[in-house]
Amino acid sequence: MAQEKRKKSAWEYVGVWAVLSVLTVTTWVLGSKVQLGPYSLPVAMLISVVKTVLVAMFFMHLVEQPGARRVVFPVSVVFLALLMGVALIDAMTRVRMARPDGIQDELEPMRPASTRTAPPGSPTRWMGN
Amino acid sequence: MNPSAESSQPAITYLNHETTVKSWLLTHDHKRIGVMFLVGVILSLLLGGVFAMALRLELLTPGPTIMSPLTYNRMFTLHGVTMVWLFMIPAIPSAFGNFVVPIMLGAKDVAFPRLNLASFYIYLTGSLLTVSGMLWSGADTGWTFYTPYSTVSPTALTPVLLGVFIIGFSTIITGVNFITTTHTLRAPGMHWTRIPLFVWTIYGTSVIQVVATPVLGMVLLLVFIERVVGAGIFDPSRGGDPVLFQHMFWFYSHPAVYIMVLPAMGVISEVVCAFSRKNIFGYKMIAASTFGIAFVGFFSWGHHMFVSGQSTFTSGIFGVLSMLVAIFTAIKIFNWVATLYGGSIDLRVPLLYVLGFIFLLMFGGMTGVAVATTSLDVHWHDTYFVVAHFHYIMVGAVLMAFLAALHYWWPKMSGRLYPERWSFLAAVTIIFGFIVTFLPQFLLGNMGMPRRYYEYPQEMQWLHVASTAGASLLAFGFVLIAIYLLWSLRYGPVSPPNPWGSRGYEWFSGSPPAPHNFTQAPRFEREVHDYTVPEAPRVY
Amino acid sequence: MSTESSPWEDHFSGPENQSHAAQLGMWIFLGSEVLLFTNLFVGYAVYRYYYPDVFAEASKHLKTDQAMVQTLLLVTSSLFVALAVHFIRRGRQFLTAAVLGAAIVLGVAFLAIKGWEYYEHYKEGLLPGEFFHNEELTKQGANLFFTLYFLLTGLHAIHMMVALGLLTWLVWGAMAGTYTAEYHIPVEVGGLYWHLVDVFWLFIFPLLYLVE
Repeated sequence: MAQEKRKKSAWEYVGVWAVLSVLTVTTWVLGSKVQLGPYSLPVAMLISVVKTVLVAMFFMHLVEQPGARRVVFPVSVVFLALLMGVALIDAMTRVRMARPDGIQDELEPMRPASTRTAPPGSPTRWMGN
Repeated sequence: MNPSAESSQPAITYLNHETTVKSWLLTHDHKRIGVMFLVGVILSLLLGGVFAMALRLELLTPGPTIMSPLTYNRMFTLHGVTMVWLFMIPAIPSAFGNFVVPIMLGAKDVAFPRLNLASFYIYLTGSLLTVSGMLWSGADTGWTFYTPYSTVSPTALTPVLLGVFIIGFSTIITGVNFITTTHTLRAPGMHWTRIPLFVWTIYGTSVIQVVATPVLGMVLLLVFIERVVGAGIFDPSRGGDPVLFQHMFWFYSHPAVYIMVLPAMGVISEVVCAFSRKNIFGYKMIAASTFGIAFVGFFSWGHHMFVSGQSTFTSGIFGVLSMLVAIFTAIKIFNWVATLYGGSIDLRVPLLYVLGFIFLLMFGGMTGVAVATTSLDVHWHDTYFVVAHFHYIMVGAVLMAFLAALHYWWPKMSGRLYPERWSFLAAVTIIFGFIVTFLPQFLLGNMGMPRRYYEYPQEMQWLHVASTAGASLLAFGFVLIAIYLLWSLRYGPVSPPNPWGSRGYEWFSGSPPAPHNFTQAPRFEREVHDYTVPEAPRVY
Repeated sequence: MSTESSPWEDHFSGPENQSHAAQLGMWIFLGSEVLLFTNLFVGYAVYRYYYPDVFAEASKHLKTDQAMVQTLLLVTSSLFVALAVHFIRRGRQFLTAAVLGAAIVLGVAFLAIKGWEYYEHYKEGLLPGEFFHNEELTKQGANLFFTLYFLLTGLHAIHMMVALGLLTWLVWGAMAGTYTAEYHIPVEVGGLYWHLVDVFWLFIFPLLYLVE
């Protein structure tokens, strides 16, 4: 249990907390004031991951713990990524008619793309097929 | 092990040290909890079996036979739900795993005995809720609860969904318990390379249970929410994507096949050693292939969705990955056969089931590779071919292993022997009856008989009749087993501590074991199933 | 895993072993909690892919600034819980109870803000699925956004309530002197749960409130 290698000071936790707070405010400023466009999602996710690592390592004391306990959390994240990744790949590679937002398109009479009304907000649609 | 091998049974066992009803219901003893789970899953098996027989009777003639189409839909749903969630998933891990795993590890109990008891009551609650839904007005979606139909089905799906959701928590808790037990409660001398293969498979199963079950729980809850408040997540008319449901559902339910079959493989690995008087061939490969299956099993769920609107690209990937499972399974089969080869074989009933298991698993596995081929699956999807395929795995493999475990560990659990001849007869009946039931279904599927259909053309009738006849044989076999096991509980000869002469670690304790498994701290000084020493293991 | 008489259970080989088991068990449970939220995150990812613009539009109807405050509240409460573990390892029972109490107060404040937000959404008609009736937003997609919003934040709020109950129980135990420098497994393990709930929010916040 508390086999502490060295006496830790409570101020270490406060330091981690300060970093977390700064990151929180950063992500809020970037997200709601600065508006990074296409980079906003990756940047926000990166900040969240950094915060999670900080919480897990210091608040949850993973830093001082043996192997088995360290492995569990990353493993579960891998499986989350697996399901999310495959569901997204599937959604991205599907034929248009099998998409929930694609039914109207398919029923529309075929006509040149130049005359077609753009699907909802297409300029920022950065991963369509 | 010293030569005082024939040390006598412990006088006080887990069965007789306390005998009140309360001492059973509030027990923290993993053995009693295992026994309670066993009773629970056997009752579920009975229920599911009754539904199965009703289905087979209905399909005896091409038209209506004994029930209406709606009743038929309910019957196959209830058969599936009961067999998968109430019987198969907890059958070997929760019942036999609970009983045997701590003993094999030389522990006094599992890591969290109270959670273990909670797991049983959660299972009980979930099961009762599910069964109540069945009594209410049943469910008619099939055990897969596919959206969008499951969101509008007029039957009492809601309690069934909630029941399965609750059972999921029982599974998770059991998984957490086994992983922690394996990590923390190994007796002195129990290195990682000495852990019995049954424990390895239970460990692999537990990982799957912990990782996959929450996903199922949540997706069923989503369907529940969809039914109750119309959330629209899986409803195409509100912009939802029903195929997403299938992704989430099979993300659990495909690995769930390995939740069922991995412990079965563990049982086989134990029994094969005990009755060929030989240590397992390729211990490390079997242990490794367990994790190979558990891992690859997570990458193959999409093969259930080849024709459901999933993209061709994804289907291709899943088709290839699904076939990898066959490699790991083949490693195991070769190793079991190699273990049998040159062994001093003692053909007792558990081994008979093992042979049946190996034979049927090969059929099930090979047809599995066939249906994982995307182009062939388009023809076979949702036909009896698929039904026969997964029954070969779930009944042919898992149920055989369940029966092998039941017979192998029956003296350990009850302290009584069962009648050898009757059990032999039952085993032969069941294996034969199984083949007669499900082999025709392959042919039916190939002829184009869709699954879950109430009626069929006249020319398919002879195969359906054969299938129903086989099912009756199966039922007869089970009734026989039920009779002689119940008989042996009271009148069976008292078992010696180690009736099979097995060198498995679980036989180091008495049969039945002492309340805390061992009367003195056990030491494991040899490999598991070491038959090079002539005497039976010492009973601690 | 405390009992009435002695908190140490005899099927473990010792305190070290019992603590190891409890923490490992909790970590595995936390891993399974991650998978419990997985469906909602996956659903979010897929529908955001289908309806990127509607999601961005819908997200503007959420109370981003308040959510930032909520995040800070949670992060701070996490600090207090970490401090509680720090103090109980040194046997400071009263300090432990005090910081846990502070964490509870922050958690309740979080839930209060959440409740106010829900009420605001209710007034605007931003409700899940078929109850969605807001004229400004494209219905298809926006209703899914709000379904996922309510499911994610709702599931998170439920976890908060469970965790708050857990913390209350820990405060009670710390006040009663159950936990000492030697035996404080529940504090460590309960703390882990609280931090996990915090971690979920760290992802929910940018995903729901900062869409563009």
